[in-house]
Amino acid sequence: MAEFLSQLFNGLVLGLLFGVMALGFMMILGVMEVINFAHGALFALGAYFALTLQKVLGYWLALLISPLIVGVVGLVIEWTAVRRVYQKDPLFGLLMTFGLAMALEEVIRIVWGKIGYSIAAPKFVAGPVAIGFLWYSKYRLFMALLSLILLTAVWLFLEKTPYGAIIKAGVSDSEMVLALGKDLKRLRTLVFGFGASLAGIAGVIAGPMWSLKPTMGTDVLMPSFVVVVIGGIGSFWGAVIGGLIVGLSKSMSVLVWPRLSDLMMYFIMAIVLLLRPRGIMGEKSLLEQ
Amino acid sequence: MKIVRYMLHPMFIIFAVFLVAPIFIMRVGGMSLAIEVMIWAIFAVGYNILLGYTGLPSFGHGLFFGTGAYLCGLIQHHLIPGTWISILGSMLGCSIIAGILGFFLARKRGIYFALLTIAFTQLFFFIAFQWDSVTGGENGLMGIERYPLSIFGLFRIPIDGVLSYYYFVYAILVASIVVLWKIVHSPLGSVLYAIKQNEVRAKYLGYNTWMYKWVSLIISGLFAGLAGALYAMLQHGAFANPIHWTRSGDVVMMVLVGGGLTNFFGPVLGAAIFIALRDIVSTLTEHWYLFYGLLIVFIILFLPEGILGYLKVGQTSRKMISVEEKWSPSLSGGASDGHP
Amino acid sequence: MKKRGTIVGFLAVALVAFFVLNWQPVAAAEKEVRLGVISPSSGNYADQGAAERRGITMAVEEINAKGGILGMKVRMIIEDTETDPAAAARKAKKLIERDKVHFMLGGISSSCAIAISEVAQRANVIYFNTNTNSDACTGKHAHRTNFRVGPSNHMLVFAIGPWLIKNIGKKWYFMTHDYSWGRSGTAVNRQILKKYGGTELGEALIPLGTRDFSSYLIKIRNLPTKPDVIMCTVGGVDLSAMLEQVHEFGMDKDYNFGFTLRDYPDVWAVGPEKNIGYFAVEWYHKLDAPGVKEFVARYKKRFPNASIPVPENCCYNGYIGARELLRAAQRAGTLETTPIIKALEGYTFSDNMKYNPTTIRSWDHQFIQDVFIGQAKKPEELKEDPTDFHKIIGYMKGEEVARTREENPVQLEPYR
Repeated sequence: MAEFLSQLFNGLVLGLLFGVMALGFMMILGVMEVINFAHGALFALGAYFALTLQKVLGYWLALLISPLIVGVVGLVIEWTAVRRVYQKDPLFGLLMTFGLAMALEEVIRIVWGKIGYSIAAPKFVAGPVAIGFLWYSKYRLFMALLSLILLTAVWLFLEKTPYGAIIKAGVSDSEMVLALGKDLKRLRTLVFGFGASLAGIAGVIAGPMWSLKPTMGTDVLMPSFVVVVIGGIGSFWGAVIGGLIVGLSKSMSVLVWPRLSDLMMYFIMAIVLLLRPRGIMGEKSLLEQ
Repeated sequence: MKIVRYMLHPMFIIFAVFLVAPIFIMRVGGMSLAIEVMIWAIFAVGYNILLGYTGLPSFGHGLFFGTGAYLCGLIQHHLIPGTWISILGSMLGCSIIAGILGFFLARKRGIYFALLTIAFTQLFFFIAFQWDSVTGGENGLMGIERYPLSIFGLFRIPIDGVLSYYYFVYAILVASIVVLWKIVHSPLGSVLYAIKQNEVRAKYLGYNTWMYKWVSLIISGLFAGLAGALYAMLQHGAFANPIHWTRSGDVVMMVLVGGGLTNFFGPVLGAAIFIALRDIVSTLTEHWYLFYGLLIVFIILFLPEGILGYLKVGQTSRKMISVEEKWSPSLSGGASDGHP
Repeated sequence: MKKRGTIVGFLAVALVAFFVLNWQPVAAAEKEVRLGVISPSSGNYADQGAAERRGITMAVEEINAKGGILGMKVRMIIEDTETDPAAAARKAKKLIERDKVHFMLGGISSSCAIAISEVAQRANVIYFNTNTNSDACTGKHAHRTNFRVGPSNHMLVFAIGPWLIKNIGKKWYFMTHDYSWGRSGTAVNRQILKKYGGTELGEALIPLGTRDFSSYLIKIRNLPTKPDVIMCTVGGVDLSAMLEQVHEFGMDKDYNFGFTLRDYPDVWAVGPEKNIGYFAVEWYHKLDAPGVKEFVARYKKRFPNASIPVPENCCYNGYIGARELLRAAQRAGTLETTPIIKALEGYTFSDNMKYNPTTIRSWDHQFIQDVFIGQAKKPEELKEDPTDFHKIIGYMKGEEVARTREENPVQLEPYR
């Protein structure tokens, strides 16, 4: 029982992080109709910027600034390249970000070297903590808290601000945004930058747990895919629920059959697709035409 | 004059170039690379049925290529050691897999289709990588042989040598291109093309678009399986890596670089250019992924129609359409974002 | 008509350009020895590949400084395997067909090495795989032309395993990377448990590419019996991540970890704080064996800016492999394959920077050599020398730990 509860808790914590990662991915997908393969590379970039900045600025400033730099990288990418593929076949956006992902990974290799690095967690959250039966990592509790704050902030932004309303309109129908007379071009650039910095912040948070390597982005990209397919494109709650499902599937399958822990999310995805082809929270959208 | 016209047909030119190429290649070495070009050309032209003609952006076709390679090895190891049977078996197996996945995929289009193909290819990668009692897992399925060809039990032609295998693959390339050309120019091809242009309209015209998309998936899966089997025989082994999503861009790039979206023969040119570039650049610099990545971006930005498309070659056929006309989303009429 | 002409032009130009650009004129007479170095510079094992190439470079430069072999200079031709067996096979073909190399050397990833050795055997070119550990390389996939420089999994595990049983405890829990290499490591560990009467408390099979180990660590915390040793066969990036999290969850204080293999670059990446447990070591730069100090000094002089300031196990194996391969050609007095193979088989050399001489076993082409047992030092013990991560607490002679002929019934192909 203790183990069950521990795994349940751990799955939820992991799910929050997957949710943050997938949210940025999904916003770009929803508003721009671009599958952003570079999301993993931006995640890695966030961790690497934090690595460098931490030495100079300390943990907190690094946590704040490196996502911003990643956001700027995102803006530059959008401005120079990605914006030219909107309204074209999805394949173009897919391939372009695929190319960007490869180039960015190689840039990391050139700048930081091929060797791996370790980021130290800040002192006050380092090490384990025992809460009753639950023996857990302090850093992960801290991470869960950060993810919750982030998710709430994004939710407030989407629900309570005019920008959020526009983004939501863009998610469901970019025609509508045009009809409202808003500047779609600028909106898209901002969303791309915002999505990129969400990837960056996830990278900063995950860095101390998962250690740094140039290839660190490739493996974390797939869960984001699955989260989005399970949760449905274009829904904030879809990303959160999808994230939690993927997180839980990873931790709970360890209880039953650890070998399945990676395959499990694909099985869930297949079942969701059979029952609800657009994902749990997905609505009929332009993407299907 | 008619003969001259036939001789200037791109199909004839391709066949002729590959027929005489070994004369030059044998001198400098690199026959394996030339064989690889032909194998990828088969894969890419078959894949283009799905991408260029039906308009379904699969980003996980390494799945069929890799599975074809495995099936070839598995048939050789466990059933019958023979070349024909292992190749045919791979084709059959891959078309069955394509058929099964097609139940999920054929209802989708656009970005959803791409998303699902990526997820499926990753699923297959996991299976291939972990199920090592069957696939050899990380170490690959080694010891795939090129058995002598038996023709009606009368002759036995060895294809173990580089040159003989080259011409064996060449013969298959010729057959594949002819078959695919026929498919594209058949009524089936016209329906696929109609689906790409406007699926809703095709549906209202009374076509069961779901079934046509399904068939197009199966055709491309079948040729991917064929190419995979040939590749396994070239490398004497089958590996999981071609199934991984990080490799799934390769075939798409070949189609795109050559101009497969506007020209039937684009993927052949694309395969040659892609493999040549990869070979040259990866020897020159260890950071070749940077160049590969930037090249993709460059192509999308400046040559979205590929080389043949850019040169406006061969767009006279009824299959050929311009990029602007096609890619504007049907619902928006292309009005958004300031474009005409 | 005109348009068609353009197609002709393009196809012809593309094909011709491709082969002309690729044309590297091969010297008509044998004026140099061409050594194909085939190891990863991208992909998962890029840093290990770079380390091994440093060792190979040192060996080749030292031999060239003394006039080369057979009166010819040695030239290295480097190709990247991308840590992808399909690419590795392609690159091996390129080295053989176009560069006409005399030998090939390199590896790191067992799967790449197996793919290369398949190509090499068919072309009858000698291939030294330098830093692989999978038992399959000198077992199921052994070839006449294929030699393995580093120790096999079996040797490593039979060095560390019995030591752990005797000194730490008999109740083991396994963490296994769920693919061929990981599973073969745990399979050998089970043999040890059986042989020495230990008990297995369970196994966590970890998919490759796992970045988060929290669920597995929680599972271990909640085991009904506390394991004496958690025996891990986890590698690459995933291992770095695992070490981070073992530290994060405080498991390093409460449990003993054993590792089938620890590559120095992995430890270097996570740093002394998170370097834990007991493990087998192929070679270490602080060994008290003849030649080690000089080797380290030469390395530092040659690579003052290397990402790792001291030579480590990959570099060592690269160095030894290249040196012995070229020496064998010198002994054989030819660059022909079969005489060199015969000069290698059964050969013993003692300037190997280890305690006992290394022998190249003739029937499976495994280099039989000392294997060391290491323990992670605590961070405060690193004050004097920040590169000195391990304490070497013992070693086993190669013949004590290697598979016997009965355990590894391979039959190499006949000489060609």
